[in-house]
Amino acid sequence: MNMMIKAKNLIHEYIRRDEEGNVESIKRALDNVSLDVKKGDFVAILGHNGSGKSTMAKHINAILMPTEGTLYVGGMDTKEDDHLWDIRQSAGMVFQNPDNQIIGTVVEEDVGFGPENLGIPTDEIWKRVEESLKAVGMLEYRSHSPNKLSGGQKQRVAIAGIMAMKPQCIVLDEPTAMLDPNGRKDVIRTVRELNQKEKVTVLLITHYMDEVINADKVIVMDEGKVVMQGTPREIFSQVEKLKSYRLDVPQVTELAYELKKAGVPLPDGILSIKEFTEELKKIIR
Amino acid sequence: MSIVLDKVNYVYGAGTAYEKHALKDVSLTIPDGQFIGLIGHTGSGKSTLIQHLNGLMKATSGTVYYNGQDIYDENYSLKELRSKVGLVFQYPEHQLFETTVIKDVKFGPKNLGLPPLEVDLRSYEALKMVGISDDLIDASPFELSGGQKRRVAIAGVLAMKPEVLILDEPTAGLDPKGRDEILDQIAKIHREQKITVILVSHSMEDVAKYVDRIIVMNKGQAVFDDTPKGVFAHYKELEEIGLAAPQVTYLMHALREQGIPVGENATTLEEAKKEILRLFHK
Repeated sequence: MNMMIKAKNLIHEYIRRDEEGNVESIKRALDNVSLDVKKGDFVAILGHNGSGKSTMAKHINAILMPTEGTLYVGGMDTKEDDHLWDIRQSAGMVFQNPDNQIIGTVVEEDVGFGPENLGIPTDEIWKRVEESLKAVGMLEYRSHSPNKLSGGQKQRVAIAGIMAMKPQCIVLDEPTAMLDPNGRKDVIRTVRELNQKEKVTVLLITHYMDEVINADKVIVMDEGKVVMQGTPREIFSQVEKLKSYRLDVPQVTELAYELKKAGVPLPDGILSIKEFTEELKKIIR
Repeated sequence: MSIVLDKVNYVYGAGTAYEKHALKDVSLTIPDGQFIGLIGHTGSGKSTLIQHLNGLMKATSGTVYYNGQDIYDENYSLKELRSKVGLVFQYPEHQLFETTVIKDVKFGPKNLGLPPLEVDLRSYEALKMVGISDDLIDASPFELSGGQKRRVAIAGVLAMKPEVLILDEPTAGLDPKGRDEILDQIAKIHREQKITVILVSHSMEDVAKYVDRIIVMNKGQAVFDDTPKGVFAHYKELEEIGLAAPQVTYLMHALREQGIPVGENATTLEEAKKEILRLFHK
């Protein structure tokens, strides 16, 4: 069993009803989504506002149930009530606004909240709190008050809170949208380390293309459908197509693309400054 | 016509354990019609600074002059100042509260005591400026997309006909296309209405693309104040204070290190493209 997440023809409809319970409108937020995420992978989901990314994320830890189709998380069908707590424990979620997900008055209490609710013995909780705070680089703040932390630090505390529940998978829904460049870098670095060292499967939803270039796989959503899937290079080679989905590419990728259009024979899908420099050197010499 | 800050200091919680010197001797001149980018990491003093520009916060010491008048003068009308220096906060859509889009936009000009017809006209014009189509004018703000809501909130400030428009991270949380649309519209408003625009942003690429002048805040001080080129030439110092230069600036430096003779001060995609193409047209 090496599939972490498996979606089969997933459909989700938000149904609005009036006071008498008659259906007023139906909005199909997920439209026949099928996708696989392997255990240990770092998968990024891109898509414009309203494309269905967050709806997808909320299915993964069974906050939302499929209208039709099936979603398996760690082999468990999210529709079966018996699995609900197991699913929520295997897939943790981190949201956009750091201020909405911190509840403790001291950092270590906040991180301990999750495992405490799972009924973990006290000694084990403290062990996990320490390990998780260390993993996100926030151990020295363990006795601080969360409201004196920066946005990026708060997000890392929120991630530690999830890690303390020992999930197999973390879903991050635009975790850096409200952070400054430094905070963004720290959070993304933390997530990548967790993925590499702790082998946690990561599903990162973001609008920042530069956070995606090191992912194992990129999924692009539009109008509730999966419209592109592939490695970052495969995805970012298709500049025009991405733009048609209201997305973007990293600045060097776009520059390479523009130069190619102007006749410079650079390859498609250049992702970093290093690649750009190497390729341009080849042409000039 | 300008804003002048003369040695402005602001201290939070003076005399308490949380005392923080948020602005230290900030002196700036903001002439009419400039497009200014204000950058700095979280806690650098950007938000404190912009709230001084329309008198929402009062300097602990130092003075702010608007068009030559001291705004801390007893007889000075801060209410009038706030209609001239419009401030759009972060996530302004959270402040939408009316039942329809047009009513929400009208709230500001109505409070200025303008005749109803003038209020209607300004509100409609403001909605046009931000690109809200006619069919959305009577919609509930809550039926709009995130980007549309934000534009309605900006229209609410524009309807007061400010001479200076300050926007605190107007693109936060929007998708890439939404970001471009908002910034293009702001640039257009700057061009056509000839107002001063101050843009607080975390995106160096955006700042480099749009503004004429960048003010960099660090620890309550304006540490750089120059053209984008002038500021981003200091990319190493910027990194030390938690900022960066646009990705193409780094690329130009990397290329030069490899012996490829490009000019190193490109800050936008267009400039970088030109520099590299120059190599092929000798």
